[in-house]
Amino acid sequence: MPRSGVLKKTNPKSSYFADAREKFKEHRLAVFGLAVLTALVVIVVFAPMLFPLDPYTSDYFEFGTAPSAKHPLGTDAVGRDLLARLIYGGRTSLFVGLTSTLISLLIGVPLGLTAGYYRGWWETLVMRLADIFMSFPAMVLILVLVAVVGPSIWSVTVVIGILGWTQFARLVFANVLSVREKEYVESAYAIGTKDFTVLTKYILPNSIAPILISMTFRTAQAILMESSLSFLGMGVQPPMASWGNLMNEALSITVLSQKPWIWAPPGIALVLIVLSINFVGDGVRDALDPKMRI
Amino acid sequence: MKQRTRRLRMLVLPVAALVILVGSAAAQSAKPRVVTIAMTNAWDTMMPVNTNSNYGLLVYDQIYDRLVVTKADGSFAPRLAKSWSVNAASTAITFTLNEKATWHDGKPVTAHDVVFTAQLYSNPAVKALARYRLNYFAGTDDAGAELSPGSIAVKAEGDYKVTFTFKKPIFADTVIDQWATAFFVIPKHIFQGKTPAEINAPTLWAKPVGSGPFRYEREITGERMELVANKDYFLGAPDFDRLVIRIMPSASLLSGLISGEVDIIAGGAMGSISLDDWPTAQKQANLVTESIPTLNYQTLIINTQQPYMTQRVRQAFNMAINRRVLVDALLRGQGVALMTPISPASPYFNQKLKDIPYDPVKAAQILKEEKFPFDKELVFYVPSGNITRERTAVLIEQDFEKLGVKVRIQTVDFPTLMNNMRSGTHDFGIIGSGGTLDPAESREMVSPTSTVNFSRLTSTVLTDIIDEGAAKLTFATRKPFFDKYQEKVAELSHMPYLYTTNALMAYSKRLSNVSAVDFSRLNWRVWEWKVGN
Repeated sequence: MPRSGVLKKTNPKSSYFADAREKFKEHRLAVFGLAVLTALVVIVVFAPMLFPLDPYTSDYFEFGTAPSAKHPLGTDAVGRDLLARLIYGGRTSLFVGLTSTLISLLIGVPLGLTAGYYRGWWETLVMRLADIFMSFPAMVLILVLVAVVGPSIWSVTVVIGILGWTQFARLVFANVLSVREKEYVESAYAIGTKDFTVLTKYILPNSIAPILISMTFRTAQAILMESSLSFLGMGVQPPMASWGNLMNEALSITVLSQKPWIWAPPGIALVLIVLSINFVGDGVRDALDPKMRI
Repeated sequence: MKQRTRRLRMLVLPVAALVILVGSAAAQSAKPRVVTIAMTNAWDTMMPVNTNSNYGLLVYDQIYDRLVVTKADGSFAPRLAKSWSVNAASTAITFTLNEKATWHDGKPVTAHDVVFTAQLYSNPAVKALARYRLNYFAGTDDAGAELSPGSIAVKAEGDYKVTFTFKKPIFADTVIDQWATAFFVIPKHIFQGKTPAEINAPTLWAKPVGSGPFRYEREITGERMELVANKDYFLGAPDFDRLVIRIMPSASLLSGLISGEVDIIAGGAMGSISLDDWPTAQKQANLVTESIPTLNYQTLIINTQQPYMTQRVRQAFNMAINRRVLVDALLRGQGVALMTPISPASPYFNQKLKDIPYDPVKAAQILKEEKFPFDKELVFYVPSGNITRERTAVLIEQDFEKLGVKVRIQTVDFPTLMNNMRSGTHDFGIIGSGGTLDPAESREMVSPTSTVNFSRLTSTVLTDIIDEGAAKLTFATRKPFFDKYQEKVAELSHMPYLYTTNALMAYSKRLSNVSAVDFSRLNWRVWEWKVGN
């Protein structure tokens, strides 16, 4: 954890981001998280390019077998290689996590920004809409929406993305409320700078830090949501692999108690990636927090 | 003084110990003997004829009586009717009721109750989703509704004989299988004089008076029903005091059996051990396991109205399915490959029909010859909820990919699947059926006017053969038509049939005299079960 109680000297000539990088490096868990995350990303992105992995073809002589030299993590109930499916499942998780967060960001940031800047009826509309969205149990709402549009990797990604906008909107809104009162913003008004320029040049850059932090946590949340949906059979469609649908096999007491190689690897991978992203998020938060800088 | 106290203690302590022992032994002997049966879905109503679901039948079967029950081999066994006969022209069937049968309130069950039940259920003002089962009888329309008040052709001949007259000569076994085995008789003295609105209200059925082996005690909606033994049951009192019917997810059935929370499962589609759990179930010291052949089947649906789905293309897909992998590897031998809806367990199975050979090379060749659009992505709807069926779809998708065909699996809930396939947006679909001993059971799936004609056939060639066969009055005269039907099904390949699965049954060793083989025929005979310690 950060040693926030220890005062450290910083180079007065160093930049804000250089300082932040130094601060991040001091956060051991964040560095560990970043290392694990990088390793996982490298594996799931590059391993299929380097090794002949086939997550879709059944080995007719190896249905539900234990780990072996031929299949290092065993095979699933229809003879597909579980190592290959684990790696391809990681691609699904990362894709859903990152893309849905991007969607949330693209919806939430402009809405929060304009609601905080213009205030009035627009603020009321956006913020009450956010309240309405947040008052629904997210998982139930996602289940219903995915059921309506039909489960697929795209529908899951878009639905999770759309429902995540409130987090960014409220965060940016709160930040804008304080930033818009600053002298440099008032100076910009005084010299007749247009609203769009004020928003993008003076206000938005000052909200980047909380947005970055929120993005990491939202990515972790989205990965968990996709896995939950796929576990329930409402996520990515077969034969596509996902860590959630790999763990779905553990619904059987036999698989749960006697075949840990089926559900433990995706479970561990999921825990590792979510923890890593959260650690990185913690580190980014501490690094970018001006109150923790001397 | 001390000595007296010690003596008193020596006297009191053994007496107290004795009292505790006797008390606990008495409590032990007074403890009710409970059997818990689990199924995977709840009953949807307490009105026995107002449902199309089988889950309610397990409940009704304990509270009420049916005229007849079916056994696994296709034969019928007495229940409320101790015997029955069909007239020479095969236009009427007469049931002789068991004179010992009484309602739970002590009144006798008579032929007048049977007549009243038939009249009540044929009344179109009464809610009865399964009314169609009455459509065999004169005085009813195609939906089984009476043509005028009391017009259904049923007549009591004395107190214990009742005759039903058919619309036309018919193979009586069909009527018994389709109607009598699901005809739960209700007490006239309870329902007489009630208006249809009162009868349709659930309150009248909430605390039912039946004649079955158990009396209703209480229920927790969607979770359990508790019944107490009817010690006066005319076919023999149950060997235990209480029957609890529990609703459990299928994934929890085995753990429930292992822990002793559940004694037995309902069997068939209503609750069987999953294939994944079967080896574990077989290893349990406290369980009896049985793998029972059934009449159920799974079938691939091909949308025949897609311009590229010609008969030759469908035949190519049919021969591209590796049924051996499905049965040997996926089902681990707990099933049989099928070419038609009629399973080898049925007497109507066509022994001469050759298996469709697995030949992906020839299949690919046919597709090329037919100029199949290989660049098109075909939509394959798969209903969620049955893990074996979902895995089957994955294997079939791989079989078709080997031909160079692109297939996109879309897993949806069953109502969505039905809607999508009715609107014809599919190329393939996969569904299952419980199957029956009636060889005409699959008629609805191939009738151009049916709402479940998912392969969207427009020709009546199959229904014509079925109708011709069904009109014959003996097994020997019916069989050639159903042999022909099976040959035509294989030729048309509109629905490549895949396999029939065994019902994987398990029950506690404390139970005996359980005829699990009959469970998939919805025949449990719970009162015959013996309960050990």
